[in-house]
Amino acid sequence: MQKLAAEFVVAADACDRMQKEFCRDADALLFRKFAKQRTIKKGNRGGAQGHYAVTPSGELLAASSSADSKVLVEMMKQGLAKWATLSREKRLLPKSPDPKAAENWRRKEKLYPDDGLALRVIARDQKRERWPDSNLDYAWFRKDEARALLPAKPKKGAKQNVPSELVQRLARFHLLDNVHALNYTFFPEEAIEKARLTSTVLQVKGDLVSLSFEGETRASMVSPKKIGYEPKLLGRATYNLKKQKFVSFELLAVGMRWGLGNCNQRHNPAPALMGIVFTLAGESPAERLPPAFVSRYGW
Amino acid sequence: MKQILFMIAVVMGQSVLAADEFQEKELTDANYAKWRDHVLPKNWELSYRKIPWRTSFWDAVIEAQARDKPILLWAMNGHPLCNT
Repeated sequence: MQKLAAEFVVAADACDRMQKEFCRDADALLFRKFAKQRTIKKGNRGGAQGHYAVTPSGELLAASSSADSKVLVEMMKQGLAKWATLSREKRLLPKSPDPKAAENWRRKEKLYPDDGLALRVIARDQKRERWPDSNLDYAWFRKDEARALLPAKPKKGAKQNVPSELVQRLARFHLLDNVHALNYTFFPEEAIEKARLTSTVLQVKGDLVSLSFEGETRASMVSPKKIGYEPKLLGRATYNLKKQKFVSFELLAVGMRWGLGNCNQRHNPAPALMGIVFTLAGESPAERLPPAFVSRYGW
Repeated sequence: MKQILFMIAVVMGQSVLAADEFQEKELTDANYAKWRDHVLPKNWELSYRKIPWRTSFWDAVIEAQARDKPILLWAMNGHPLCNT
């Protein structure tokens, strides 16, 4: 499959925006041109989701909505075969696409906190109901927000109550059930019944401040049925005072979740344990993707 | 793609069912590491991230146009590499 994939420029992107008829962004117009040509008789994941082999001009070469790797390999082979039959004029756009056009729809990416804290967020059930049983998102903190996670004057034993707005933000937009799929349901402010996180300085060695975290949150609402999550929080981290950055970070949330969500493929609303881990994000382009609800951060 | 990796893992005999045996309850200092390791993804679960995905379709169009190559696009509601 890797050998076949090397014949393509491989890309992954969200199609929520691009598939909407009213969206006039350049990428969306091109996307809908080939997505509309697709005919999936079975195994459609819904909407325009799936795998596509396409030309830069927007010609559909082949498509699949199957999770079967054999089907994907066959689709790639079909796509390459069709590609080989097309003239250069058919394959390519009449003029080079404008990179600046993307500025219209990639504003969230510009919010990436280069000098702050970017965390990878993984959620998983205690007991697997089905696969996939974990999902991934990101959480961002600006430089001043990251610094507020530890005491202003860090010395051994010093404690810091993390500012309420930051803990609330975690509870509203990151302590969510997206285990099986993206959850469009976040918790409104009034759903947050508890949101507390305390950091304690364990040690200061040179520029490095070692911390522990302890806290709890509870979010509960009716939308239209009861949804909630009540985790306990524990963690540890190291902050470099000279670099003014976290150099290690772990925050673990474990507690009961209940109810369903919007699009999150949760079919059993019964209360069950769910864990969520926050760790430092990497540096690759994929690790810099914006959090699902970053537009609600108020940045 | 995640589903595909799951099938590959099954074929390779990876312990994809380990989560079914995880019994820890409420989070404590004593079971912190067990819970953390349970939630964090295994290497095979992240193998799809080793593919050099362009993270936007438009970037791929620009590159494919310049290199005269076809595009393989994985499109999902929510970004496939983030929250899908």
